[in-house]
Amino acid sequence: MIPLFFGVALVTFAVLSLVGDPFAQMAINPRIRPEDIARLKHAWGFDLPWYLRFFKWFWSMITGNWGVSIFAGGKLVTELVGRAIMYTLRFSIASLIFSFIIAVPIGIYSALHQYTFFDYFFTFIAFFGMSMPTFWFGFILMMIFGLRLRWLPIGGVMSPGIETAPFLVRLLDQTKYMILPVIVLSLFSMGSWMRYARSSMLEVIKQDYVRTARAKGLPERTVIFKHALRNALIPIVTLLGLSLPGIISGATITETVFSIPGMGRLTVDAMLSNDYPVAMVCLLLESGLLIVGNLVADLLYAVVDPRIRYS
Amino acid sequence: MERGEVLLDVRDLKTYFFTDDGVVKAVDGMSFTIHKGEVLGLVGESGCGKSVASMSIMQLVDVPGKIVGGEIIFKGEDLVKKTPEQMRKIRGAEIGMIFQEPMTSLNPVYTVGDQIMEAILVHQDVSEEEAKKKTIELLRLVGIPEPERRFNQYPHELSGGMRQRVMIAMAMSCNPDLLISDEATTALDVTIQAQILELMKDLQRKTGMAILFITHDLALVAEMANSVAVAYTGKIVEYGDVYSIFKRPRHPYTYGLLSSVPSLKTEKTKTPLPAIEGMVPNPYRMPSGCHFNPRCPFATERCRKEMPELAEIEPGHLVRCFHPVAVEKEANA
Amino acid sequence: MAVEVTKVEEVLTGRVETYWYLVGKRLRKHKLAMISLVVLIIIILACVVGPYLSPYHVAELGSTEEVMQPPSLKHPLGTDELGRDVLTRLLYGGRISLMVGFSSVFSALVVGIVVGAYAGYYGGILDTILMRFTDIMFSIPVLPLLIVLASVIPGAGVWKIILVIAIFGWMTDARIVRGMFLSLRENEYVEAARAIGVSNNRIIWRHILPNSLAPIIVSATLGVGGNIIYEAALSYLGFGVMPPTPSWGNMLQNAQYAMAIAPWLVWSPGIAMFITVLAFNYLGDGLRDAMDPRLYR
Repeated sequence: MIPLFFGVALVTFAVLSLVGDPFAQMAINPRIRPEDIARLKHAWGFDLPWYLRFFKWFWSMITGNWGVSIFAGGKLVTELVGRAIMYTLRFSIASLIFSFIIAVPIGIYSALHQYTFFDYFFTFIAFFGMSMPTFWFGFILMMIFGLRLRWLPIGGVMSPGIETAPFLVRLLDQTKYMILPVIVLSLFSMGSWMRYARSSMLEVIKQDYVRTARAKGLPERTVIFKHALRNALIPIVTLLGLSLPGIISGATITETVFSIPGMGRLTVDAMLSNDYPVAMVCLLLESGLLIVGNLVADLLYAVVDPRIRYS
Repeated sequence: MERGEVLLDVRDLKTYFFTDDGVVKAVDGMSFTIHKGEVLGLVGESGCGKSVASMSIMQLVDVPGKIVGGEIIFKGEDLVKKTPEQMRKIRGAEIGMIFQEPMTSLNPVYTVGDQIMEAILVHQDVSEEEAKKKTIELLRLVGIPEPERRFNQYPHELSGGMRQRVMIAMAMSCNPDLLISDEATTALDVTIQAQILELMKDLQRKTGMAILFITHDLALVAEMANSVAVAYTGKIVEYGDVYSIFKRPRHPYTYGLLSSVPSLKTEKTKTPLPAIEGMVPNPYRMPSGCHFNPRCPFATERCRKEMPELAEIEPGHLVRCFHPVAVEKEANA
Repeated sequence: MAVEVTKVEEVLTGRVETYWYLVGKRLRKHKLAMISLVVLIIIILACVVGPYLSPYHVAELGSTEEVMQPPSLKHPLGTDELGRDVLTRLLYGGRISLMVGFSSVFSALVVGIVVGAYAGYYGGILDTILMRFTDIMFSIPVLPLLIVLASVIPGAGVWKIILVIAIFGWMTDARIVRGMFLSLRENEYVEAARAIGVSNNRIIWRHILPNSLAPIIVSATLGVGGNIIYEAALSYLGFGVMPPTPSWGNMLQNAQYAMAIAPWLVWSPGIAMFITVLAFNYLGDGLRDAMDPRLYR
């Protein structure tokens, strides 16, 4: 896992180097003296050959010294990232919980009542969610609920001027802003969780041990909830672990559509403006989370499936 | 041999499968009886309906299958007429069943002990403590060494033979009157197979339970059964006690099956092993008349038009054929 | 597996039927998948032939009165902010989006199959190296890097987008193929082929690969739908197909600003994309059911 992380860091570093010299723009500006540019370059270590730069940077990443944003007026990267992460996490986690809680039971119920209207209807909903381009859906919702009906706001995270209001009022207000983005974010994952839960359950029901359970004379409820469900949930739970990484970057498009200043936007803006320190931190965080997510998925698998534990 | 009273009486059972491609008459008028304490061997090739018959007895036939006719009289009551709840109480408690694949028949995420205890707790009003004790006893009874340790193990930690023993323990946990063994030894290798059969015979002697022993292997039938029912395309074609069937087979199919078992005689005389010609018919396109006629060396015009009924040819020996005498002549030739 | 299936079918109907015939038969039973197939054929035909039949040219600018017109008889889907006919642009954009979808999937497939086949067949060090590489690629957050690559590689062509999407899309196929190869190479026909002296390459490409096509086909079908959305997302963010060449994605970006006054500009590319992707998804799902070996028991 460590070498993987190292490898990923190296690749991201390499790709970002392609982005170009962050100081190129400054060099064109006649009002900035070359000596100042040289001084800045030295401060950020850009005058060193790339391998040394890499190690210097890698070390500072690990030790938490994340540096200062080149373009956001010298703000601490930690501060920028910290704020953005808060927003992103809120939406992503809410949407993850929301989609999981709704989709999995529906998927399982569909499997148990195959070929009924319920099944066909929710299969369509699932496909709907998986085929719908999220940003377009976001637009449509914004148009309908924001512009036409004026029920919900069309972007941002809170109403202007509300910072001074009491906590509960602020909370309600922010929730209002969260509704549409969370729905849009959840759409795709709800669809795929539903399908996944359904097919997993369908497969488990056909298994021999379910037949054995019935032959033992167990009540049908026990057969389904104790024997079948437990096995059907195994792949679903591991999927949960694998969706952890998506928490940070999965919302990029939704954030753009709804103008939420989260990690996705931060990363993209940083990369486009060649804001090296910020971009690198964002990418590294994301990759780190991906690797951790994989690890969590493996661990969860071992917890849930005794067959894996002992091998 | 003196037979006990009738335990299970299957009368004219019909279980059909209604598929998109047509109706499959998996069990089409099967009748047989099992007496208390006896072992009935139900023999036949794949697709003859024996497994479907056993699932029908347990009322576990799944869509698109359905029992469309006949009666299954168990201890005097017709199982076909029972409600699901009534049937559930019978399953596991009065009729136990073991299946072919020990690898997949046990739930991989629960311990072996848990699964056996479950069967006990659902049918009997005992505490968990007692159920656990009983389970360990059962494990010991079926010949599993170190039962206390095995109790906490998962199915994947046991070998195939041991898993099948666990299945037997589970099926017997509530002292059923009837044990249905559906090809329980087919997936095991030969030495283990012998052990499991020994175990089953032993348990049967000890508890006096009856066994419906389903298999395609005639040798096993000879070893285990008191009576034999031979099945072909959903019907019983011959039925009788094991000696009569093996010494004096009357149905051409039974005769063919028995002849195709290699013996020392064929080895010595180096005669080619006779095999029954042709193949099991397509379930969607059954031949008319007697279903065996395309493959039968003795078939006549009548065989192609009419379906024979099960008729008694000797006391206790029934055959579904128009010319069992021809078979006798052939056998003695 | 293909052999077993043939034998059973031969017994039942007295006719030798290949695996693919059976797949086709089963697919035909899946009504939604068949409808989707028809819909897709219609869409593809419309996008290929449509622009030639249209009275308007894709880049034809309208006069000032024709700007931002709602749907009418003259312009069935209305006009955009430059007076261009939306329907024509939609069909032309469809060409682009579909081409990107198919090509990117195809390229990703080629790379993925090669990597997966060699890793799965040879195993050992080659497998470890290739899989480590795949893992690294998997661990890199896709969207940000897609954007970087899109802005770094020179040129504004459609091919750039295809390349960029393919670079990040081959890993899933590689894993699928590797999995299939790991299990299929244990089959007896592989040993038999080796015993006769067939070369490794031939075994891989002529023997094992045809048997692993099923999940690949499913993944490819679903992938086209997914990549169409990817391309649209990229174009929407400004990194995909550049105007004036229309694609369903950048049409949506233009529409964003006019959302309040010209909603038809938002509906058309979105619905087109939605129906297309939905059709691909249903078709892929139907294919998956039709090719599922377990249902052949």
